[in-house]
Amino acid sequence: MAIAEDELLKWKFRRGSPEALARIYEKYLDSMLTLAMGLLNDRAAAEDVVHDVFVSFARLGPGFRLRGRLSGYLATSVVNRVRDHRRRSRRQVQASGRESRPARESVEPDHVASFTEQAAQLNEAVAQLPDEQREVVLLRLKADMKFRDIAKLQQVSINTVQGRYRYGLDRLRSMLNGEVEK
Amino acid sequence: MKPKKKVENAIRNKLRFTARPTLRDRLLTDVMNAREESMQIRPVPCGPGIGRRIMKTRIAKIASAAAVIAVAALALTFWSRSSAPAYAITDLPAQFEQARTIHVQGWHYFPEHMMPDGSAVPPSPIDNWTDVENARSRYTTTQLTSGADGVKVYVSEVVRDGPSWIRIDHGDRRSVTYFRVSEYQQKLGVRQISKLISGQLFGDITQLSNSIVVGDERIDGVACDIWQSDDAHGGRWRQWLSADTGRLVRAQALRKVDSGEWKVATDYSLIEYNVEPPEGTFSLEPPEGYTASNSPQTAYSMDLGKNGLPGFRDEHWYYYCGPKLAFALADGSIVLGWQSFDPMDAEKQAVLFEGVTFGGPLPKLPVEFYALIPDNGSSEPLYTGYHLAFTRKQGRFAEWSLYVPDGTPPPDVQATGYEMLYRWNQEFARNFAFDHTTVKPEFTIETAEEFDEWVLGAMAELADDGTAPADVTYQKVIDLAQQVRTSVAP
Repeated sequence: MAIAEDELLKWKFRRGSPEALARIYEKYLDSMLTLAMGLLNDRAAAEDVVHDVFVSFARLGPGFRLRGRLSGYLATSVVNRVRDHRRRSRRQVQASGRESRPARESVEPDHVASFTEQAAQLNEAVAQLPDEQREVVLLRLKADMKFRDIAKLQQVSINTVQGRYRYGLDRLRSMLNGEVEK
Repeated sequence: MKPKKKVENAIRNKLRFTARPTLRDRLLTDVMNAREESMQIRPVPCGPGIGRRIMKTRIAKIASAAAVIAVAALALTFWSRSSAPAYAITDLPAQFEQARTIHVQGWHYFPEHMMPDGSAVPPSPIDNWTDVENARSRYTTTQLTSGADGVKVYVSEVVRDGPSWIRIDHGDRRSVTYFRVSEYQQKLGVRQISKLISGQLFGDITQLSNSIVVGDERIDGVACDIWQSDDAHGGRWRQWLSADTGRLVRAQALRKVDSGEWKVATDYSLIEYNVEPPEGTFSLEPPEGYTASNSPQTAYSMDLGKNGLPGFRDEHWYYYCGPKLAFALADGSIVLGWQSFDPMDAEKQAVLFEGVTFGGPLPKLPVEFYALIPDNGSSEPLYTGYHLAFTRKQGRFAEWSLYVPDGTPPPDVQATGYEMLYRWNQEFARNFAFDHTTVKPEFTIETAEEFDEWVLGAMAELADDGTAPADVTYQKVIDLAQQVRTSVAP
């Protein structure tokens, strides 16, 4: 049903429908924010990434052509933006000679997102995973992407992706140490 | 349940963040603005001239100019009747600037595309009205998509009247969308629409000055000279001008297709000035059979100037910066409004504006746009920035600076824009990775009245109390520019 709706949304969006764009935005904002938060563990940066993803998407309009799934497309866009962000951050840290800062919580009164304590705990655990494993776990579980598509995105074999997924889950299990039982 | 499965379920179902309403609304506004900007730009590929770019290199310009001059000399010799017309081709833009209303009708053709069955793509109508006096307009936009499912042409119209405007989509789903702009934005938009129409009909002034007469024709009893010019991007332009008055009667844009033939891509077959628009032309009601996707009360707001500013944050700052709006002054200097604000704590930035004075150095904001250079490959002249004023709206500061060149501005800089040079005044601002940022002036301010209307008007738009700073006047700004020029003169 969701996929059928997405096909309709894609079709309408391509024809310039603002309602379709608004619906796509409403439908995927939270999941893309969750994905970006999971990948970055930084609410402000996640907000910037999601902002850029949707603004860029909005500009595509009638030029938009997509055979695959909308959620996968948006998730891939998020991942690409996150990678850009990481590269930029690394360059900045190298240029300034600073120590890399730990992930931080937003200090602004206008919080980007609301979430449960458990979500925050899960996110902290996910943040401890290596980038590649984190991407696989989140793309698989939060964006419902197939291993085959994740493999394309990471430019590795499907076996490597499945391995990263397995290792990622194992590490999460040990880090969460029974918390998920609650 | 296996532990691995429980982890999967936890991530899948419990790791969830929800955007708060303020963020949701703010992002949605940006997204819809981005869509609308894109829709306004999108018709460009259909009109061969709209997407033209000014030649980038000096050599190309010189070579092209030499070629045009040579051809023009031959043509003028050959067509002796037209060698001394009773008008100047370069006066053409003034016809649009002085008109009360402008009405343009015609057709877009798509000579480079074919339908799947090999037939020609049906032409798309153009029917544009600009009511300059009353700041209203209605213009047609055309989009063409070409894919595996064939070629499709989408026609829509944008009607602007006062603070409201609507987009009427004439596609399969006949719908209307409402938007809301300030009076200032509306006026600015209409002015730019006139510029856009001018650009569609005859390119820019450089293009016009390269035109030559290639023939004559009588249209509706009016004897016309046919002027023609080729641009540097493969486009050809033709204008029919009344031989007696110079009035533009018809205009065409042509493209060379694969066979080498020149084909008409756009034909503006009717161009009228100062005629009364039919009743209902600027109606903001959905046409019969069309549904409204929102209402005037829930119209999407359009922000003034350039949006989507780049930003960064660290432990202390949540920061955005970039240009908002620029105007050129007749002496070649530039007035630029730019932002460099901390939306989370405006007072933190307020202290940085303390002590700044008219004509003095720019405020030492963490990222400071201290100068401009032409974005045409040249690094000269350098436009150094001086503080004029600052405004504040909803916690967002806008710095208004005057940039004065230390030499003669190149002629194409209006089209190519200016690169904004910046520096960090505080160590943490080094974290801000900046892309190449350019700004293009909206147009050139020639008089004190225009300055008040457009520059001070823009300042007022970005001020909480809706008024511009009292100590900024045209004369003071011009005097400042002159004073700077004198001080840097060799």
